[in-house]
Amino acid sequence: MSATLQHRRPGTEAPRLPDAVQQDWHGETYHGRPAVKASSFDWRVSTYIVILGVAGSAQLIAALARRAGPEARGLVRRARLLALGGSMVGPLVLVQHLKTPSRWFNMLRIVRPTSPMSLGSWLLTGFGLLSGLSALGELLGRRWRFARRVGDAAQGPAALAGAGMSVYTAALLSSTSTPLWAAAPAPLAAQFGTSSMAGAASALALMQRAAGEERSARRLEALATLALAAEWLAGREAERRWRRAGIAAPIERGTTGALHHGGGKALGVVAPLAAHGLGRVVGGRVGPLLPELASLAVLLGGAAMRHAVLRAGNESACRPQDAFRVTQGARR
Amino acid sequence: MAGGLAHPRTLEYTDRDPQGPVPQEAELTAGHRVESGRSYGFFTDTTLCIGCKACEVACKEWNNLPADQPGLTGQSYDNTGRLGAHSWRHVTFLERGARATSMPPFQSNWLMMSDVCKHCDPAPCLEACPTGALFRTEFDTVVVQQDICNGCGYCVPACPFGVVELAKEDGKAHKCTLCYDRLKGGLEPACAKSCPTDSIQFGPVEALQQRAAARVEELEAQGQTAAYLYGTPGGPGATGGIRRLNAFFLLTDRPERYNLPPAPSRPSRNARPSFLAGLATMAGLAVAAALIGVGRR
Amino acid sequence: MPSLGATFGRGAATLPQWDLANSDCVLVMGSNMAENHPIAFRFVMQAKQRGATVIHADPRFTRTSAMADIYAPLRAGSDIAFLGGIINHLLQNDLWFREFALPYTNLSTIVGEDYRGPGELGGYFSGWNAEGRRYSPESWQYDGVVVPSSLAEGYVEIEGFAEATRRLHEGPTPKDPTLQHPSCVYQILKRHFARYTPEMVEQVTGCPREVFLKVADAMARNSGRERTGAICYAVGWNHHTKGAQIIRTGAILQALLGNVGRPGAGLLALRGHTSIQGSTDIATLYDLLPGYLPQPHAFRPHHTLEDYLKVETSPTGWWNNFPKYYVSLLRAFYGAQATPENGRGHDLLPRIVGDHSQLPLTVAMANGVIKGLFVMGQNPVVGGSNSKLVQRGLAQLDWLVVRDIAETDTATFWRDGHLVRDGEMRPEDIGTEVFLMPGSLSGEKAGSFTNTHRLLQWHDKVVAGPGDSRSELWFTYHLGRRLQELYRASTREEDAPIRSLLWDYPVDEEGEPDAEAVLREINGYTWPEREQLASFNDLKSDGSTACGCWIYGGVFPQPGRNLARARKPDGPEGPGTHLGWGFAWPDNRRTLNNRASADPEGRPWSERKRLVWWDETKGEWQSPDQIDFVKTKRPDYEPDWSKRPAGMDALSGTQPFIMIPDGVAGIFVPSGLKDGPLPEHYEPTETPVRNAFHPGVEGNPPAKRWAHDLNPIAAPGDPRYPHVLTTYRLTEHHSGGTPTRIVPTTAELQPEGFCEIPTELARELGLRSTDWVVLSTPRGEIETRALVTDRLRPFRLGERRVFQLGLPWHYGWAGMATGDVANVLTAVVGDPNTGMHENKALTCALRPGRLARRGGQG
Repeated sequence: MSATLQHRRPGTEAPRLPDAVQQDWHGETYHGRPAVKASSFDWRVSTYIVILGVAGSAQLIAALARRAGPEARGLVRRARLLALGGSMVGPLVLVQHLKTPSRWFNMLRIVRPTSPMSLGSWLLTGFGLLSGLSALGELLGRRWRFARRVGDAAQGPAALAGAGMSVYTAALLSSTSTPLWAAAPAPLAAQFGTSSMAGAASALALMQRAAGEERSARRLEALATLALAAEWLAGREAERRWRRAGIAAPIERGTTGALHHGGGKALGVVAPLAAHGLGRVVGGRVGPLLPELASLAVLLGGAAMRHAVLRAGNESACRPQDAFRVTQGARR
Repeated sequence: MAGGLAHPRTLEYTDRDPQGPVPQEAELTAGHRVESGRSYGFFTDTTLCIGCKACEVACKEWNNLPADQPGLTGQSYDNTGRLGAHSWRHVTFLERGARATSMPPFQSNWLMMSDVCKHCDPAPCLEACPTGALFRTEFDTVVVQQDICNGCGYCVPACPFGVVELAKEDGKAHKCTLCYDRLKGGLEPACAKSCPTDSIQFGPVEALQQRAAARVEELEAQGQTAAYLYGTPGGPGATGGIRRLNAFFLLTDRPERYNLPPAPSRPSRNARPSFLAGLATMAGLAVAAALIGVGRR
Repeated sequence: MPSLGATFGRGAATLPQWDLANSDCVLVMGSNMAENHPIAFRFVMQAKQRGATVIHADPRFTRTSAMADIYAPLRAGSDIAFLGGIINHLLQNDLWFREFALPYTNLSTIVGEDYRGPGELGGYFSGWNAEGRRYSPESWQYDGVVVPSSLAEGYVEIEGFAEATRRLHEGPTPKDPTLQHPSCVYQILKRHFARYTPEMVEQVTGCPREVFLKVADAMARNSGRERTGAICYAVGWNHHTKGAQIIRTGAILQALLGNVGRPGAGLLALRGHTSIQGSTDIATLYDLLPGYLPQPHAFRPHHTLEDYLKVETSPTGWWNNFPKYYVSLLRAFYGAQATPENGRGHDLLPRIVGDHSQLPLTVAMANGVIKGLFVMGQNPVVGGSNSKLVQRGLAQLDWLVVRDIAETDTATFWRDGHLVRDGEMRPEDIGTEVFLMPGSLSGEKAGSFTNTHRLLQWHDKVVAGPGDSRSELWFTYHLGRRLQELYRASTREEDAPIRSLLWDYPVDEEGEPDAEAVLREINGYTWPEREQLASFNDLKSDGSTACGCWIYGGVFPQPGRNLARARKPDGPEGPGTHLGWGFAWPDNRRTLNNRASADPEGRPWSERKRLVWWDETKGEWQSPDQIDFVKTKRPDYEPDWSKRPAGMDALSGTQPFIMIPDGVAGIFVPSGLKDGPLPEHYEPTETPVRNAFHPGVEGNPPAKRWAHDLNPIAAPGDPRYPHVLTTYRLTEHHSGGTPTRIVPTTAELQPEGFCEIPTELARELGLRSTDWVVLSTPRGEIETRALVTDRLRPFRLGERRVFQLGLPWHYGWAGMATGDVANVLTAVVGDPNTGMHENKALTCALRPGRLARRGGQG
């Protein structure tokens, strides 16, 4: 081993190259060819992320709402059913993304603690089962008290699993060598989590309004507003990191940029925040349309945000300079 | 005349049974026996690579890989372009700089490197694989089991070197197996055996690392001071939680010139901060929801 | 390989490839060795790892240059100027290895007074016959003695040739060891190359003077007792109208530096195909019989066996054994039909009447002289010069048999070729009947390869070929058998050669002849007992032995003992001659002329370069190699001239070049070469510049030309064709491309034809890589992709800036990797000695865009 290569703590900085080698990287790539490979993840995966995020956060809302007692029964019921629906539809979409869907059960051959996808598969399985149980309590609880008890007992674990479902997909994306995803693991998880919560709250708010429970809907809208504000901050942090790493181009430009700015940010965060803010200022006089539109915007915008992140990640993987930028390591 | 082209045991074999099969052929061709329980890999010395692509052809022939046929790229002699599902060896070509007429020893104006799966330790693709299709063999190499892979594709973005790829034809992940089948039969991997200039050397990783370190010193003595190892413990390439690359390289220019990341890292290290940040966010939102009184009328 | 033959006695690589590892300096020139001979290049890399200097001199910077320490760029076709400059540098600065070159070469030999060089005669050697466009070598002879050529044809057209050579029995050739005699070879050489000054080299080759001098110094530094250097060349030296003389220049250089017959020294002729050496050994060339014996010629004194032996047998040296080899060959050909009455079969052998090599055959075909053609393992539409002339010729044939492993471009010329493409002919107008017969690959048949350094290696049949595919052996054997059946009843004299042929090879149940039976015949056996002979020393001139190729004698010394099968290399502690691996002709000698690795007294020049030495106690030469000398001939042996010694008896103990009549390396070659006893720089037939040495005499005067409407030649300096074009091969493809363009794994590596264009020229034309370009010469136009690169550099030659273009010639329309045929551009012109074409240096024009085609296609 060359004496010029000194030992170092992993991950903090790159070992020194020999003095005879050009020390600083001036953006050289290999004929402009990608240095890492883009994932095969497409709209089906982002749809899954959205659906399971909403479903997961819905379980969290169900667990919290249940503490409010009988008055929240409708909300709890809708939240549990929403979670069940999500945990049934989501995996179907996801399995379709596998190149060999018939082998989906191979996901359950092993537990790989280092693989968010392996953990996520088990989490999804658990969440699906728990959501099933909790929904079962809701559906059969009137006839069988036992079912109700099982459903209630499942609620706590389902909520925990739901929290995991809301954010694990960010961990999954971050635990790759795709520059855009790997550069902002924590902000991305916060962004996914807040977006999931905003989405779940908005979806339930819509349902509550439809059921005539407007006050409950307002509280959910307040929760959505708060989550959106947090999402805004998380998103800003993610963007800051991307820009600092010099890899923000894919998410800021082109179609993906439009999706990100127009869909994820303007439609998904700014517009609903403004709408809810306006509603708060003018009180109940605006009628149900504005908050309903805002809730819809949250859901659509959340989907756009996830899809933009997914697309931008795949695009960044095709940009060797981005891959090299995030793997420079600090130099002495 | 100084000779020495063959391993001494070749003589025993040829004396004993000149026509018969040779057990542990790797001992004759690479100078090492292949035994389970040891770590094997490649040392690719780019200063010896002449860019003949014999490794690419030998690999495809042995592993029955179809052609990719990307067409004429206009990028030097490189029409393979990349490692992929059907290209497990890829010779990179970079015609550097001005028109030299005089080159210090092993300081060619051109960079040529036979790229391959690094069989990292630990291996990000393996760490990512949710099905266990990717596993570590008894030779400390990383192999995809085709009968288990379900094509989730997570190993593809996980790889810091852009090696693994899903095949269009069957949707499964494919990459170099370090000729797992040949190793089981005591044979040296096809690419290393076919390399005419011993740019690709096969053997136990520790032995190769020693040989490589000696080669760096030798090059230094000959005036090639830019030589360094990429992928040995503590060196470039073995960074960010990757302890070492079982297939490592001797380079003479910045890694990016060879399409290698200067400081790759193990992507699974991002999982924990991401999870924790996410769960903390959810906890915060739960508290907020409770304060808001979600559920109450 | 007449040049190595004329200089060192045998037309073959003088050293084994693996011996390059022992070299201190390797000059690769006229070869892109790393790409086209990667296995041999392994040993160059080993030498480099041991500290050797590697030099690449080439028009293009290639993967070989990338491995070199010095890269010397030069204009295609200027090799003699470059090497001549080095020779001049050695002579002017006294850097040559005097102790070696003085006794072991003809430097001190005195040449007749009539000799004049091109420096004195304005570009011609003495003896030029302008009318016949050829030289008479009479004035090139040594003072008072005519020397027969050591090449296949010993006969030289000189009045009273046979008698004049008898003087060799009478005493040594005239010498002046002080080198002062104005007509001694040393003085002639010095005068000749004095014109090759560094300034001249720079002007002619375009190679910067300091680079050239660096090469010269490296060569000089790695010579002498302790150090050796090797030269590796390939068709980059051959494919010129002066190719033989380029190789000669290299050979002279090595002889002066003491780089022959010694470890890590010599000239390695890198062959273009797997067994090209074997094919010349076993004589696919029209004028050779197996073992480099001359085919009888109708217009030479070859009429009877006696006439033939009289003029072709050298009085002195090893070739004095010639009658044994020839008579044994006739016995192998005709068996019992070779009788004293028919000159032991000599009368049955067909006579040649002129040049029947590929280029004149091409012209003859186009002129409708030839009616039928066998094409076996060749793809002349892609590989033949002036492809459109070739295709025009094929279209004139009655029948064409193509035997190959795939449907080649040659087999489909009538459907997809240029005649059809360019709208000159329609497929239905072409009357040629094409028979496509499937051949088999090496693993599908047994046989031997003779590699680049004369090494025979046997390969077995591993799998049966698919379908109806058959080996060449099967095809040739059954063709001969059927011909014999057809002529059996004939009584006509002209059919006797076929009826008399000994054609009795054993066949297996599928009719496949036993390849080992053929090798046993090649090795030689007694007649009529058919007992295997141990070596060519056992051959007799009385008809009691038969031998298919004398130089292969010893390859199959006993039944069941096929030495080509031997696979026992030396271990790490072994001598590294690997005598147990395969069989190298002659007599398993690995390094030719290896007596030269010892000094005149028989001691190794140095311990470091030890190979052969005289052991006084044993009274014989010792070596880990087989000795290329009479094993018991003492170093101080001198011929007893009073006894008119013949053969080897006439060579002293200090004359290592046993195939040469006077036993020393021929720096000056009196006989055998048709274009001069010394190499002189001539421009290619098509050249952008005048010959700076003698303007007015541009090209090699006796170069072969064939006038034909379809073969026009651009005049020197023609402004319509301003660029130099050189054709070349890629490591990814095999020659005519058949084996690699049809296989996906190799086809994808270089999937399409292209042309290397220097960056400066591309900028002028606004070209970028992968753009379409059209290349044109007076013979035709092709379209291909541009590859813009710094590999080629513009040269400033005098006032002009000259660009070179590089064009791989593998491509055609068949298979997966396709492209236009480079040889549409090349001309039918040839080297006067070998008839070799000139595809490495011609001129062309270049323009962006594509060809307009009939039917408006692209």
